[in-house]
Amino acid sequence: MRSALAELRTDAGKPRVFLTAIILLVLVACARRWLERDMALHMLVEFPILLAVGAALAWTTDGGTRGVLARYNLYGLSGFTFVTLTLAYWMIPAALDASVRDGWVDGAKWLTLLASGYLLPASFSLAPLPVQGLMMGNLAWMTATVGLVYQDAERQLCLYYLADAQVVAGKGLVAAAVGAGLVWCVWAVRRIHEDEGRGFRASQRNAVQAVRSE
Amino acid sequence: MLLGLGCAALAAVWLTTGGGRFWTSEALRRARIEAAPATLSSLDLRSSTGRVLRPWGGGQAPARAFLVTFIYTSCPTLCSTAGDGFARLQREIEAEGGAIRLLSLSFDPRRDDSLALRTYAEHHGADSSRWLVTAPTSEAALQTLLGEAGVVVIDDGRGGYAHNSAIHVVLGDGRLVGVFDLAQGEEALECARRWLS
Repeated sequence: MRSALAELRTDAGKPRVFLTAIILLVLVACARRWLERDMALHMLVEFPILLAVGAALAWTTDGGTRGVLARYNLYGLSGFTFVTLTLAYWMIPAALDASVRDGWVDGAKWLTLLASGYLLPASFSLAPLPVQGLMMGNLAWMTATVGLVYQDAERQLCLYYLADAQVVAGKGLVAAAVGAGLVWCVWAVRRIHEDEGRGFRASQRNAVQAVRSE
Repeated sequence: MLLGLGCAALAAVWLTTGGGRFWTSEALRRARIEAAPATLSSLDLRSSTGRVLRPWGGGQAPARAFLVTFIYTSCPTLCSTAGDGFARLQREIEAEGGAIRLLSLSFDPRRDDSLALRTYAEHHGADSSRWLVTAPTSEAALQTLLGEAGVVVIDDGRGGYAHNSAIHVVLGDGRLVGVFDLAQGEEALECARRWLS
């Protein structure tokens, strides 16, 4: 299992990841009506899948890490801002309803979520840890707040979703926000340790070289 | 770049929420109707008394108004509340001389046959000269009406429906001029009086 995952991370694995992303996209498109019939499936399954597909497409095509896109994504700020604004917008009850009601709005939602996913890998690689922390913290805080609002609302906020479904989606959003925040924290701590290790090894090498040159 | 993104997001939110004032579809629907009344297509309704009527449209003058609630008679909650509210309003509109009438309109015409409509009317004490309990004769006309009024009906998974319950003020020429909460019967009545005066 580990070796298979490691293989996917190499350049040789890129065509397979690309193909998987395209197949996933087609499957989600086919299941769109079913997914969007339930608020929790809509926000907690369809949204993340579209983000993941966008991210996979970016990784397999080196999207955004080089060239024009990177020039406009200094420290990953533009990319993270786009992702934050996109997710914030589609969590507005009126916008979510419109995406269920009007096909063209749903199309816009798909495009912006895919674009958000596409910008994520480059934004993570371009952003220093403090910037990532700021953006991830903001995203998690915002998602959790919306989740709490959906849970505590006295009436149905979305016309296309039942009040019960709204509560489930609200709880899911809070869980997703906490989960994403924790995953990022663990990843950040590991990266700091790795960087410290690399720094320690480099300083050791420099010390050895200095002794030899003396 | 960041400024551009911010402006685009602000514009999208501004357009979607009516200038940042209405964050739900229902609030937006009411605000839009208040600003620019929608015109509802005329449709034939069968009443609990067995009569077929066409309440608005078809070249009728706007000299009368209907307070309309969308219901389904087997609803145990909001539609029953709407019925209780209409029972109170029924007494108040007596003085209007027939210019304002109450109309309960079922969006479940397949289950709401004449008997079901009559039972609902009798349960809430509807006087057919002031309060009509009806269902559309055509499913297509019903869907058109729901779309024009912005009423969304969804299956609740328990054999019933969830819908945006409200009192709709409709003039005789089919113009939908106001939408009010079920508890705002007085305000709906006042709105109808204002448009008729």
